[in-house]
Amino acid sequence: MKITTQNISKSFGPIKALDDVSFQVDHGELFGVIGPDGAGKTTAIRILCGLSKPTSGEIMVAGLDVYRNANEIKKNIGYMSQKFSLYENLTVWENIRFFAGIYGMRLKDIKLKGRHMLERLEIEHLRDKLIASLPTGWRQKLAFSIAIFHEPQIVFLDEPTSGVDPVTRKQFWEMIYETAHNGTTVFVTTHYMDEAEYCDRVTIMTDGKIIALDTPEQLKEHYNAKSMDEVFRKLARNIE
Amino acid sequence: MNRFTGFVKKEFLHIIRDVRSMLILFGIPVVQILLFGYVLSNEIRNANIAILDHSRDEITAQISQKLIASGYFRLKANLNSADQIEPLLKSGKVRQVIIFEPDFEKNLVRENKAHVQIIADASDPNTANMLVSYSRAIISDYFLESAETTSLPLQIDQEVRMLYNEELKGVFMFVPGTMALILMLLSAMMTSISIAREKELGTMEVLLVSPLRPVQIVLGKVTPYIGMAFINAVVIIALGVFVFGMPVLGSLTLLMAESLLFICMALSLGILISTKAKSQQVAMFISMFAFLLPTMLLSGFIFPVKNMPLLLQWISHVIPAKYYITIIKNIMLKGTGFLFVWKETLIIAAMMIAFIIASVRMFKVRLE
Amino acid sequence: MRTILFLLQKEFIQIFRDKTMLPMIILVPILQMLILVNAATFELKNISMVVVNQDMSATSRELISGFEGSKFFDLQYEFSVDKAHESLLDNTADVILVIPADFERDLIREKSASVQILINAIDGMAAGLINVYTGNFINDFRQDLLIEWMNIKPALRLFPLK
Repeated sequence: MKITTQNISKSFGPIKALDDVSFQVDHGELFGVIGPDGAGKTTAIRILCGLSKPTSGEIMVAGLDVYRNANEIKKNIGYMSQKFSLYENLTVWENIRFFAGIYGMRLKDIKLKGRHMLERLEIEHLRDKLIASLPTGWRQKLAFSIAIFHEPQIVFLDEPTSGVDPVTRKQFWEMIYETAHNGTTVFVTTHYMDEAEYCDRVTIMTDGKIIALDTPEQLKEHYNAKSMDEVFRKLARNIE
Repeated sequence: MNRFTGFVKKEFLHIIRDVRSMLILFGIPVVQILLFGYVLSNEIRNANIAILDHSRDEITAQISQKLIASGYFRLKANLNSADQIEPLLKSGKVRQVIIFEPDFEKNLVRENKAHVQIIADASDPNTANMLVSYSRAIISDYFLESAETTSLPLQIDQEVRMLYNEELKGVFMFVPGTMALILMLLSAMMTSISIAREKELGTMEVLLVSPLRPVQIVLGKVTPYIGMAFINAVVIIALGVFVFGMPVLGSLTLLMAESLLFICMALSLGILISTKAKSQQVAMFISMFAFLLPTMLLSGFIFPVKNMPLLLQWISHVIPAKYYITIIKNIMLKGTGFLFVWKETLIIAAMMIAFIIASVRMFKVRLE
Repeated sequence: MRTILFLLQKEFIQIFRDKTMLPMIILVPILQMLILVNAATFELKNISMVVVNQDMSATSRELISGFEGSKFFDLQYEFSVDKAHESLLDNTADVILVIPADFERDLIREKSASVQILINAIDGMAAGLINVYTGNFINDFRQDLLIEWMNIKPALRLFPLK
């Protein structure tokens, strides 16, 4: 599934959160949006998910307009919000059953797939534990696994690694990487520059505008930098 | 449909697993209705009084006897001097002192009139008013019944019938009011809080991104509470009937149907609040202040609406509990059918529809 | 000690900046006082009384005019007891006063007559007061009659002092 956006803008009163943004995400691509807080990353992801309407511009997902065909698109996307998004007073299994259920999966399939998923994460013993009792790292990984449980064709991750320890962050990105390589389009935002290295392509945003969009390798070469962090610093200097 | 049942199941788990919710849902109503029934009952029974009888003759003895026998008063002290009155009232041990002037009987015979003085502790003016009224009535009654007057012609016999509440029980007022208050608060507060909680946790966004439609989300949130509030209504009515001796003279089915309507109205109000409230705290605060006070004061629950200033009477027209209380009293105590409550029913239904329309509008606005 | 001042400063800034809580904190108590003070009264002023006067005599009309002149009672009239009863049921009335036919005749011939008073007693306290008020009116009326018709000054009249 492809995502195409054309000239989307979004204003909150006098503030332009997104200013004439256009990009295209290819099928099975791991697409990263990087930038400091307030750059418009979350606004962009909320618009793509249909949580918020752009002031102007067009968004097509798999050739369908997001607003006119919301129902067909919704079945095929997964979403993990910036805030923690599992229910703390439900058990691991109840969360899985609930989220899979609202995406219309059959109970038989949920049971089978759920067991595989818990095995893969090596947390079968935690199946009937409340989410509240799990350590944060586990919760985050579980939240991601649940977001892609119904096998969406596109998954949107809004700063999934904020507030997570470095070890878990690394494991987390491996999971994302694997997902993308299994053919799922992944759209991820982050403010950690080093995380950009994992992405197929990266767009760097500041103040609601795209200031660069390419593969990490091309960007580093173009700006003559050793790391993405350096790329960003050079870009920021250029703007000033 | 499968999705929807999954959603409702999840809501039930939330409620059942949360000790606090369960307490609010089932503990508070029971405590509240018992409290209101027993403590707040405004009947006057056995109010402590003192008598200062300067005359100590046969008539004053008979009047005193009649006062005590009425059941409204209990004689706490027989005083000997006027100096004792003030300390006694101040101490709060008695609420009223009755004073017979010296030579009461003699004055009565000689001058055809005699003086009784009633001093009441008016720090609670309502009760004081009642006590004085009752005392006056009992004393006048004594003279009406006394031999001399009854022998006079032109008797007008008053056949008084206290309808719908022969024993003048206070609970007949408090049980319907408490029912309205509990159902209103619980339904509105619980829904608004639980929707606000999803927003606060960020799970609401996940739900909105999912294929669930907003209507399904709202219905899914509300359905468990309809069930819970309905169980509550049953518990409260059962307490009223079995503990406080309220009758259900009219149709029980109609009573339950009206309660269900009222619950749905309160739930829609809760949804409306949650479209505005960003956090659980705000939702809680709005429900407490927007509902608790007006429902207690302006619904006719405790204080009769028609004795209030005009402005407050107008405000009372928009208090949903007012109509529900009227409906319950009519069905339970007067035994009337739908014919006598259709207006009130219609008003509650109209309110419910208005709240639903408003919430749908607000919900859309938020997505813009 | 100085540090607590900074804490206080912060608290005040937060309170005054909060656009939802501030009005609540200030308005709620004021509203509460205004409403509570005005609403919390058990005093009865407007007792709705339905009169069913089946007698239609000068005496019965005189009795009714006593109620009409009072600030405590709002009077309505019905011809049948059943109709009056309905207004108790649909909450438009608090009390029904039935003056039976032959009220005046009975008073003249038998020197005694009766009236019926039906009170909605769901609010027991109000019902008690209504009973007292109504009873007082009727007793006063009777004493006036005693003077007017038979020139008897009632032997005992009670003047409770306050």
